[in-house]
Amino acid sequence: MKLRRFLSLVLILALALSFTACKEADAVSDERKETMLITGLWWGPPNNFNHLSGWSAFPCNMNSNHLLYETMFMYNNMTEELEPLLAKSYEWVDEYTVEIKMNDKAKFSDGEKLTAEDVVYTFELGQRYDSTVWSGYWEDIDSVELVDDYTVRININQERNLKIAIEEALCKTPIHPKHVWEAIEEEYDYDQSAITEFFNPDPIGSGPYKVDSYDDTKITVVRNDDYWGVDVFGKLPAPKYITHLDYASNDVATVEFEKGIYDYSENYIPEVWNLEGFGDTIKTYLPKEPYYTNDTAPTIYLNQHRPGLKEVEVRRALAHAIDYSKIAETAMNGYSIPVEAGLYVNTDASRELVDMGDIKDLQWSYDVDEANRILDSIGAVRGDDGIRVLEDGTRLGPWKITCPAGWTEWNVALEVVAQSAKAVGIEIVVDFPDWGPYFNSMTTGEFDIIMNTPAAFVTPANPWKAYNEVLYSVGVPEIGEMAFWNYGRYQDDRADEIIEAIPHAKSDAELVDFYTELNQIYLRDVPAIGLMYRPVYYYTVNESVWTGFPQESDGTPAFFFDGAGIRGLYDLENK
Amino acid sequence: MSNYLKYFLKKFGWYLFTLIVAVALNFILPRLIDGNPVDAIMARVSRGMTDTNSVKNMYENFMREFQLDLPMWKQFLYYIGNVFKGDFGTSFSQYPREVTEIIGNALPWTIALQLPAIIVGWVVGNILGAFAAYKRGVFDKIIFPVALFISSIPFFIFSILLLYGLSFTLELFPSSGAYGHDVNIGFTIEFILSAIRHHTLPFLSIVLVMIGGQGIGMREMAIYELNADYVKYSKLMGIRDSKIIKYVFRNAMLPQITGLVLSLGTVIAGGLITEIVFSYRGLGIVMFNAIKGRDYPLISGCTLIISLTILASSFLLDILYGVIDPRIKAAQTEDK
Amino acid sequence: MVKTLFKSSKFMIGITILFILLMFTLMYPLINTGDPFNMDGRPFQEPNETHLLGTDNFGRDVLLELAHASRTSLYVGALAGVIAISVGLLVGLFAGYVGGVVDEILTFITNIFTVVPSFVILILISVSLETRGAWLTALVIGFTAWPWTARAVRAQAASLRNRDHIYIAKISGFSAPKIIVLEILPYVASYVVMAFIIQLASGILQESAISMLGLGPTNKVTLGMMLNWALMSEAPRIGAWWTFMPSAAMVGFVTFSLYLINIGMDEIFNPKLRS
Repeated sequence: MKLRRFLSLVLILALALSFTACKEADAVSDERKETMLITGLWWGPPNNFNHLSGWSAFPCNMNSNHLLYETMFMYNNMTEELEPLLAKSYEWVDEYTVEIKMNDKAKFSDGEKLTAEDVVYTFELGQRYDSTVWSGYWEDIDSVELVDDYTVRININQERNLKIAIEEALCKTPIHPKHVWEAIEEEYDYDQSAITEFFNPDPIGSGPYKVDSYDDTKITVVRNDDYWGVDVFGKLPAPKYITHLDYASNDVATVEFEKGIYDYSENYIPEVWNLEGFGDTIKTYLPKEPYYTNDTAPTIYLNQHRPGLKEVEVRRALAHAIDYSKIAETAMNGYSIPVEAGLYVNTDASRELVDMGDIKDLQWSYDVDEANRILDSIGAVRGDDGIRVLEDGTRLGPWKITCPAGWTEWNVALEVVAQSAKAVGIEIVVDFPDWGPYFNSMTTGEFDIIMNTPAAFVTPANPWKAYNEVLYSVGVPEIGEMAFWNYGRYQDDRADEIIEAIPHAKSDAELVDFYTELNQIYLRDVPAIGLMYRPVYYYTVNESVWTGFPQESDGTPAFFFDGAGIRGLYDLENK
Repeated sequence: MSNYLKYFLKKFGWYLFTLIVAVALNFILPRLIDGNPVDAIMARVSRGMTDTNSVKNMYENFMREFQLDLPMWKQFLYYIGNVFKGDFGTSFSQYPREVTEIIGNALPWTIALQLPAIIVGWVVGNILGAFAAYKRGVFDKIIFPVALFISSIPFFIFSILLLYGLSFTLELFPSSGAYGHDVNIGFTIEFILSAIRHHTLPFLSIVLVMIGGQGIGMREMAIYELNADYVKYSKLMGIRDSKIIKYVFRNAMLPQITGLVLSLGTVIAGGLITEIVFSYRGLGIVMFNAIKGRDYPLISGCTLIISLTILASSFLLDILYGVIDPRIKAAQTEDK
Repeated sequence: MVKTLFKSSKFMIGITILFILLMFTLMYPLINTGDPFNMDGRPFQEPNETHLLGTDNFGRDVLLELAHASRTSLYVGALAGVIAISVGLLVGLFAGYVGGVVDEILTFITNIFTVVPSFVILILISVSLETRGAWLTALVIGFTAWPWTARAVRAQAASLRNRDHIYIAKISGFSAPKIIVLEILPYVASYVVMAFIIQLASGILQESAISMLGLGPTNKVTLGMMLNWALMSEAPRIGAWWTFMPSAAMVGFVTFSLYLINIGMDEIFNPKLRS
């Protein structure tokens, strides 16, 4: 029995060790006070910090565009202005040319000055490598000219004539240092496939932070105390370190958030008002319901070319069958009001552009009787299994409704849709593949019904961009090839016309007419169905260590890391 | 020893053959899954693109680079060639990280978790089981039902219960990860202590269920042996208890060893879910995410490692078995 | 022999628990004929008069869900068990009795299946199927679980091979399959019954595991799926124990009762094991 005793000793020792290590200091350590911990901006281990790969990790991705690399302007979605950052001002010197004046104080973290040359170079990088996110802007850019050391001119594509796309480019293109990237390009022989494999472990950008360390579960950036931006912001950002944590499961992430292990979360948190300390240390952007802004509308795109779904009455019936209140209640936990039928979202700016009176009669709502009536009227008869069959023999289902696995509120919403559809005789089956296959099905049009949020980022091009993504058909490739908007391949000439006209509208009144008509077309043809509202980024903070986070009452935008909301980083204080 | 050599060689031969087939299977299986793996990469890389021609170009580039445009058998040959060079390919879902790097980061954590858990669970379980069989009485009547109940709780539920009970509610242990957020990987006391703390709960959840399972098995075998004739005979002859127990152990141990190998398979499954529940970033989570992302090279790499481990331990145990129990060896080499 | 079974306390307790659970699964839906998928209630309601076990994150009645889910899970487990036993029996008997090259080949195939963990294969196959019926999940589980049975049956058949009554049968000119069925099968019968019970329990466990990961049968409620939704909607953190405890307990008790039955039977069939 000596063995047994020995073993029990070992076991006890191990447990004891764990318990002693258990005694964590209650006081907040100095290092913790200097570090801001966040989550929700990235998932998984960092795969690279290289924008040219098309998929770079925090802090070099489009969710956090001003931390390491910077853009010329920052968009403030509350004032709808482009606030100066690397550039001081911009002006449309004529119909097709915009001139940008750079800030001569700007420099990179290696000390080199940031000049107009770097801007021109960055845009050209986008031209050479279409894996970059900003390469798409070249659809609307003819050329980028270097006027002098601190002045750039962009000549836009005269045919498309979309100033609004350029304004977005000014806010979203991360400026890269020419002196660094020229060498990298040469090393990789200007070969696109090769250069996407470059990790870029120590990125040189002009932003206030540099990469400090990273491993499979977290990424840490450290403040550059030589940051040039003191000129723009008046001081340095408050946190010395920002660490982004990666959690494999959402509920563990929430529990740790509640305990104050990290300060800022862009994750979806169910029942946030029940968290301990809510209202006191834990805050959301809006202090009361719906707690989060409603700037975008996750939508289901209906494939206009599949049997059954191509009948507009079937789509309309589906729109009436969905229990939107239930989705707002269960999927969104009340963070969204029940969705209203239309392409506008639940913000003042968006509503103002639509004449509600003119669309009221066309709007659908949760009405099971109406749905059944519509289906009956087109001769869709219920079979023995309860599912309807059209006169030509097409069965209404089984149709797959798709969204990525693990996106909880989307998964729940689609379950509700499937249930709702069953009640009126349409068979819908939920499908939750991983993100890669989902994205591929969506862009190639190989789906029955698929969920996506139109224009879900911070951009001056909204709300136009959202309407564009749902309705615009010019340039959408055939099913089987990759499209990046209008996934269901809807087509209406008048809608295309209006969308092209909006950027050149002469008056606000004209704008309202345009947007209202677009909504009418949408309600008439039902190419997609909006399911709920959500913020572009969820914003929940725990002020146990850092206070001073922006809230609606301050007038600062709700998007902390994307756009002008980054100002919030400078005003934080330790508790 | 020529009989024994024959036995050894025969075993080795079959295992080698199994290994080859396993490698082939590991290669083919993921590729049979529906869905194009380049999806994962294309999805990320193409987000900024609007020109379908360039999308097509990128797509074809990737297909070429990963040799996906070649027939299956050619891909297999490339794969084997690379494996011998130690190159398991580039991951699709974590492009452009290498499979060897990803597995290299994750594997030590899984080994650190499972190896001690299996050993401790097996040893403690068997001891408890034998003890229960020998002593009977109160000890047996309490331990046995408890062990049975614990081993019937699905291991993942056990993990969840531990997580919520000891971590969330009682706050005795950290709730996620293999190490704390405030420490970096390295040989510092800080890191080691943090790692141990994070290791405890997942470890416990595997160990306890294993103890339960092993304990029951051992108890059965021990009871069986204790009622055997030779035991009664030895007792009658006056041989000391402790010597009898030694023989009982040896005989009861054999099926337990087989059980150990078989349970390797279940522990891997249990380990996978435990890792997911505790966000413990080991091979389990990596493999699960790889499967969901249709990441062929990563899946093949992970399953290959698992297969190798199981094969190696199987082989070792088979040989050990042959040494311990001469009857088995004889049976294997008997003339038909 | 059956009468002696009743004398084993373990067996009786196990059977009783199983019986009660089965009765609940079959009877309750007759009392409450609702559709378990209906989302009538408000989400996360605590147990009250209308919803005896409260509601889940969708607002579905947990008790009703439990009854239906148990049914599907039991069905999957049973079907998987039958498949596993059938294949395992077939392979094991032939390998054990015929021996020689057939044995080596069959053993080899069995080894291959052990080498890639069944759970991994289960995940791989489930991931690639677009719709998964309950029977399909059962098929996959059964298909990956048979090696265990095969191995044990083979050992038994091999040891029986050299018995006298087999020689007699051989000399009498019985064909191999006939011998297997008439002479060997009865001896392994008791073992097969017990193995089936283990496979049943294991099938239920595997189903709940794979469903909890989100890869279970589509469009059907199973115990694993209930756990999956509970975890996804962070029910444990919210404190909504009624959304996951019942399904977890159901799996636990069903497995426990099956193990008890198995041990009880083992003690009866192997007198040496009796306490």
